Amino acid sequence: MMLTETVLLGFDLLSPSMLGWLAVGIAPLLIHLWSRRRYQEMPWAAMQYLLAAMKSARRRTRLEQWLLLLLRTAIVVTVVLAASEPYLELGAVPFVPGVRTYRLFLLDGSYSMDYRRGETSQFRAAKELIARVVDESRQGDGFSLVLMSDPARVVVEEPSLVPREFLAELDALRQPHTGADLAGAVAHVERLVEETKRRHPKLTRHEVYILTDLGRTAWDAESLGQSSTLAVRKRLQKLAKSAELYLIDLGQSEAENLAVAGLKTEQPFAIRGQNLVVRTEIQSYARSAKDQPVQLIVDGRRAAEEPVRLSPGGTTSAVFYHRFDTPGDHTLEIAAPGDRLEIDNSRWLAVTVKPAVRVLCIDGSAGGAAGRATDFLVYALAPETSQNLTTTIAPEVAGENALLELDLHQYECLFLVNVAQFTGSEALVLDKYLQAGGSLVFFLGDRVMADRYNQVLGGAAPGGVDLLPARLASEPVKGRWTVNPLEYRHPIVEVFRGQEQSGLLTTPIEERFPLEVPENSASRTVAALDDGSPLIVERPVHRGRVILVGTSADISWTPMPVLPSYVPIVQELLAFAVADQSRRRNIEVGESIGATLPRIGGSTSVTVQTPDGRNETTPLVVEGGTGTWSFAATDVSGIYSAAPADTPDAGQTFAVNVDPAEGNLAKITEAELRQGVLAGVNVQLRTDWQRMAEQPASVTTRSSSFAKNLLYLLLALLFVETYLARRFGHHR
Amino acid sequence: MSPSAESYLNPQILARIQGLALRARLIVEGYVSGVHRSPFHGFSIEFAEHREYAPGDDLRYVDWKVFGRTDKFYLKQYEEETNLICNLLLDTSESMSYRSDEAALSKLEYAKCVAAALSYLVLHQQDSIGLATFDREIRALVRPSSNPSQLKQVLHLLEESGGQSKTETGPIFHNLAERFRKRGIVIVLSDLFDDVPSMLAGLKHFRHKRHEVVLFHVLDPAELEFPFRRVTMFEGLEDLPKVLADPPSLRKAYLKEFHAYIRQLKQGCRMHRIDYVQMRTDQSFDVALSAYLASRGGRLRT
Repeated sequence: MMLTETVLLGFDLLSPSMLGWLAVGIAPLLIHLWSRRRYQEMPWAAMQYLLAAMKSARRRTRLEQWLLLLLRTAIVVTVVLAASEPYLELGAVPFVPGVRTYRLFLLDGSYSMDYRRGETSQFRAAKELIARVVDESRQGDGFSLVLMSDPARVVVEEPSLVPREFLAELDALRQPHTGADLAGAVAHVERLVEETKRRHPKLTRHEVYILTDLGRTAWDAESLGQSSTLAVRKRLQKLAKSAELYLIDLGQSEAENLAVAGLKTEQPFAIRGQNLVVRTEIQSYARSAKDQPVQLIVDGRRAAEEPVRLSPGGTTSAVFYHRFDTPGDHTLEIAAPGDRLEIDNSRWLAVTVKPAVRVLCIDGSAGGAAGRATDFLVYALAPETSQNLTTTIAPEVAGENALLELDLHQYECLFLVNVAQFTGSEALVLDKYLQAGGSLVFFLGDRVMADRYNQVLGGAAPGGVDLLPARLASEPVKGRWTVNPLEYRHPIVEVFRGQEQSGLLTTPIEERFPLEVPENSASRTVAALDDGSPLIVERPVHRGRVILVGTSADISWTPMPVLPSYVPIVQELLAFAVADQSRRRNIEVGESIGATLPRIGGSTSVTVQTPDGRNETTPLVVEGGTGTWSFAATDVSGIYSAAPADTPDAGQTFAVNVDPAEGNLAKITEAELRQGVLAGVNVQLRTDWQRMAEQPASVTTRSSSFAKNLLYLLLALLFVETYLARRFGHHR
Repeated sequence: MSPSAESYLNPQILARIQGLALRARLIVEGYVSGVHRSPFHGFSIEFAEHREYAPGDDLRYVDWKVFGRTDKFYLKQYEEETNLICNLLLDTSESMSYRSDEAALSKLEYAKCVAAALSYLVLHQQDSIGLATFDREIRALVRPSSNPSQLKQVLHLLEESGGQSKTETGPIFHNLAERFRKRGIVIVLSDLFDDVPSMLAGLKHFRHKRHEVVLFHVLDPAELEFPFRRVTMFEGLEDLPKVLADPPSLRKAYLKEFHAYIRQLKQGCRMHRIDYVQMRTDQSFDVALSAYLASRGGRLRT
């Protein structure tokens, strides 16, 4: 029903005509005066006692009469005001507390909310419900919106007092493809309610609506962890004391789903003309087995399709083979369409196909000429060359001066072997190379000046670069150690798991630089010695990675280069070092994409094309001849393309994928909620959201309305008047 | 159907009867026909002789002093003659003319009925009855006599009496106390709206003259309950001013004042051994007769 609203003296009146009855407010006074004019006459014998009574009770009687007169007038005025249903207009002077309401909507933005019933997703249904509630709210109410995505995001922070503007923000809100950060969202809600109470005291009533599908992934105490559960519960308990909480359940208990849970290539590098093994995993969240066609889509075109038998609740793998004939950026997509939640039905992989992986080996032992150290290394990197076979890795050897002379960005990785020391300029070049996504692998040796390493590369010098994953001891030490793979936890040595006969464990190390790994750093020990001291340490630096091997690449300090374990370990060092380049191109929703461009031309910005067809512009930060850009709004899964504005052909592709765990649509039960996150929280759980969408008033109860408060006041006044009249002897 | 004799004790019914003589007879006969003991047993105050007790005799007349001396039961025998004197003092001031809607008779009418009934009763007991009417002065005085024609004179005087002036009981009571030479019973019928200490001083004078004093405090039920609801202009009787008042708001204070006055009156009566009998004009007349007979009985036993 459309309500006719009239503004009068700062107040809105739904029934302004009732105001005319305010004149009735003087009725008690008139009745009082009229009754004094109309009196009966009577002879009275006991007059002296009546006179004495009047003398003693005159003051009290007058006070009682005025009090009753006031009460009766107030009763009439209250009735009229309640009937006219007034409420405070914007900017009006303070009137009666409790008139205006602050409504904060916490909308579940996890992609499971995209589950569709017919043509409408749960997310859209929630938005429509919010819109109806806002439409039905009274003028002067304030609204905020928090999106429970991962990370949680405040969409409308300052209470919006103009419903049209709020609804525009709501309408523009897209379904993110993230999970749900319940703890972060509740923290936002608590903060907003507190700030609103402080900054908008006229919004005296506070209501928080949580619209969610109650997925286990977001709400289950086990998924959240004990500390998060306690924190959320504590905040909600506190919140419930100052606001009314409504938890509106939009989920479906019988929902089924499947998700493309994994996609990767078996090879670390995609090389032109070589078959690429593409492995995918399909996760079923259904209760029955199902035959599901799975498609491989390459660069937007379907390349293969394979039926897969999905077992209920299980994971099924499928393997595809594909060969790229042209170098450059390509995209792979696995699609398993057909269910009601489409977001997790696809998964993408961005690959860069190259003719070969170019590696530069800087040999410090021969003053620029090729020496023994790099000979072993080159052999280990490209063993096929000895057989005159086509290699996927193309190692090149150069002297120290190449650091300043060559364009390092054409190489995927640099191996720095027994380099005595680095100048400041060389350190800056290496730092810039890392910023651009390159990787460094240091092998040490007898020429290494440890103190210079620590000073120039280890951040000891003021203004210097800090790229070493560990500090070197001043002098090398001799001894006889063997390699401890630390339970093969690190990906570099993981390939040796179960291959104890490969010789890694028995490889002797006879001389080395002791490495000191800083505490609380990002450095990880790949392998250690049998006495526990680190041998290989790695650390991400900028967009690249640095690996430090504490011994030599040749046989001067260890016979490893002539042992069978050398080739695989060098290959794994390279694969791991360059894997970051692929990892940065294949991220999860919510992570940032970006790159450092060595040649930027005249561009000052990068255009990012999102999977949903938007073109977003992000600035290119230029420093020292290179430009760096970053784009964080990856809340939609799919392929993102980014290119400098003036050189669109120099674009890169990025694959952004969802967390498949969110595809589990299992709902948490009310009992579990009440024992878990909502234990001791005063919250109304509503499951009748469809009825609420039709009748928003059932959600936005008018209990807070001014009219209702007036009726309470009226009841109180009637009670007081009756009591006082009886006490004063005025009951009739 | 004509009302029973006993129903004439009800002022509402008696009010329909005209003539004070008839009213007096109906009240007394109504009283006699009720559960009350007949007042007409002959007992005078003059002792005649003793007679030996026989079964069936009333034990109340056993002479216990003789029994104490002789261990034998003897009854006292009296001469059937009397010299008990009863003086009625009737307040005929203006305030006695008040009658509320709740009452069938005004205070004065009610008091006249009581006085007439008492006169009838007293004379039928061979006692003497006298009457004085007063307001601020003695308006009429009939000396006590047991002659049957006395009733007619008393009733005539009662018929003629009407309230006009204000009350001044103190001097009146002093005056009458000096006039009543023979001791007897003095019955005052008044609303007693006067200065209480002055009034009590006058009554004390009667007691000093060894009279038995019975104070019939005649009040209208409205004066006791103040039940009015509407705003009222109260017109004071006995030269008191008009007052416009809202009765509900004053009721509590009025009742407090009025009850304080009655309490003071009762205390004074108790102190001077005066029988205080409050009479509401909507109340049965037997209260008055019972009070008189109780007082007379007490007088005979002394």
